[in-house]
Amino acid sequence: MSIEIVNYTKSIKGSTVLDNISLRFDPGLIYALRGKNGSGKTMLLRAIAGLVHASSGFVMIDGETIGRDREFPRSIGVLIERPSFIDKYTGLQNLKLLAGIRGKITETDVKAALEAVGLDAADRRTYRKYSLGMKQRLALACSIMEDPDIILLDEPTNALDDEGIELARGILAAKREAQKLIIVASHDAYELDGLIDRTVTLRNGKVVEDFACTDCEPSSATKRGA
Amino acid sequence: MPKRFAYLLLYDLHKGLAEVKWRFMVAFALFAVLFVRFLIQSHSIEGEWQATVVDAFAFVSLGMGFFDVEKGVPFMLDLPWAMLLVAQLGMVGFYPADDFDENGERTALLAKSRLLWWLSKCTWVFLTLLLFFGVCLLLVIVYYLVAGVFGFGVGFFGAGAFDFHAEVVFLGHETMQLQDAPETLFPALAAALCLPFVVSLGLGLAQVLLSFVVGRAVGLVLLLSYAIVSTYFTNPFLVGAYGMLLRNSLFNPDGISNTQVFLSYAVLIVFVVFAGVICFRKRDLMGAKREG
Repeated sequence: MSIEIVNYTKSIKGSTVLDNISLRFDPGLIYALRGKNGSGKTMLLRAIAGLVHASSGFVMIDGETIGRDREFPRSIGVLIERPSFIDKYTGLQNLKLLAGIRGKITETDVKAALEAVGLDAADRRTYRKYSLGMKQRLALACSIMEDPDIILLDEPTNALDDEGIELARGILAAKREAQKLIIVASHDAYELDGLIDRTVTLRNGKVVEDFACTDCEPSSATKRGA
Repeated sequence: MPKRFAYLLLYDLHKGLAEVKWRFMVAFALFAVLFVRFLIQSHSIEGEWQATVVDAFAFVSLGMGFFDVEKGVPFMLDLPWAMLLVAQLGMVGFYPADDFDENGERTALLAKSRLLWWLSKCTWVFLTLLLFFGVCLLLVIVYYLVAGVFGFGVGFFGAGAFDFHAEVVFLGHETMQLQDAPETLFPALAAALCLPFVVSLGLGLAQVLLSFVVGRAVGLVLLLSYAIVSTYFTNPFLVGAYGMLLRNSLFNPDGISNTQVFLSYAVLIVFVVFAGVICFRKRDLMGAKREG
């Protein structure tokens, strides 16, 4: 399942947040969208997900134009910003409720997604009592639980500890092996260095860099940590 | 598609009711206070009459008569009516917009449809108000059962139903008489039990839509202003006060008939739902924050 973005422009209240973007994303690869806050990373993820309408241009997924042929992509999991869950329910209860909407997966799949991000499916604690890191893990589990072909993650390592980051890296690597298409937006995704196949850098809604990462230099942060 | 809608609605019922629990309690407490007020006043009336479940509901939805300066009828807004309306709008009017900001992207994506998302929210408003009125009705029924004055004799809704008394007493305002005949009793029941629900549903859905279009607070102020203005002026487009029983043709020869109320609100409800469909088809799904 490949994504093709063609001359995509999005303006909101007179301000151009995505400016004539043309990109192609292929399955079995992990892409990083980089750029400062306000550069258009999150908006580009929304555009791919069909959450926003283009001012001009279009997003095509496997030959279907989003917003015209299909309202939303067929198989997609997203983590955009920090979604909330029902405070008084456990992680498992929350995900089961959401999984019910599409009815594609069983409780076993939901539990597997929770275990994959390091959360205990039998944990009786409610979402209200979760730490920030646990909340982020739950959101990550929610985005992958239906085993979508396209995974869009916005700042997925936010609030994660080292163990959580390692788990996230493992999940992304496994999904790549399974030929999933993964796009990760981060203003500084050094935690995922070595895992990224291609990097697209945005500035003021425009693509300013787009390169394969075979020649990528580890970021300064990684160098420091090495 | 129907299954997806059902589960989306289930999600909304879980999340929505958890989020509006305290607003629900406030609205219910307000209803309970008005019911107690009715009991106190009804007990102070001497005579052979016995108040019923329907009387209690009618009293709560009484509102005020038509304002007529030429006849020397002063304009005095019925505050309990306004307060109960605010409580109900606060109960159902904000959750859809709150959920849109927090989870709209995710749930719409899971449902694969903006239309289902919007219809689920509309249905949530309907069911929440139904639950609210159901709980209020239960309170009144339980009271009359405990007090031992709940009759099972007449069976107006069928065997074992309410013992409806034709004499409806509106305390604190004026006493009105209904003819003890089915053709009058049924409209009276419809007016007392169904009409307040339909009015709340219409205005509640309007509040939901306004919350998206102009914002929660502005929407509430606009809608309340509209409702209050409708108590002052008589105009077919000002239907906000149509739920007031004192303006119903059953009790006021110049009043509004049940049919007119139900038709007006059917039009309003269909309009709001349809406008929401149009609004959401073109709307970008973005939460409150727009980073990145």
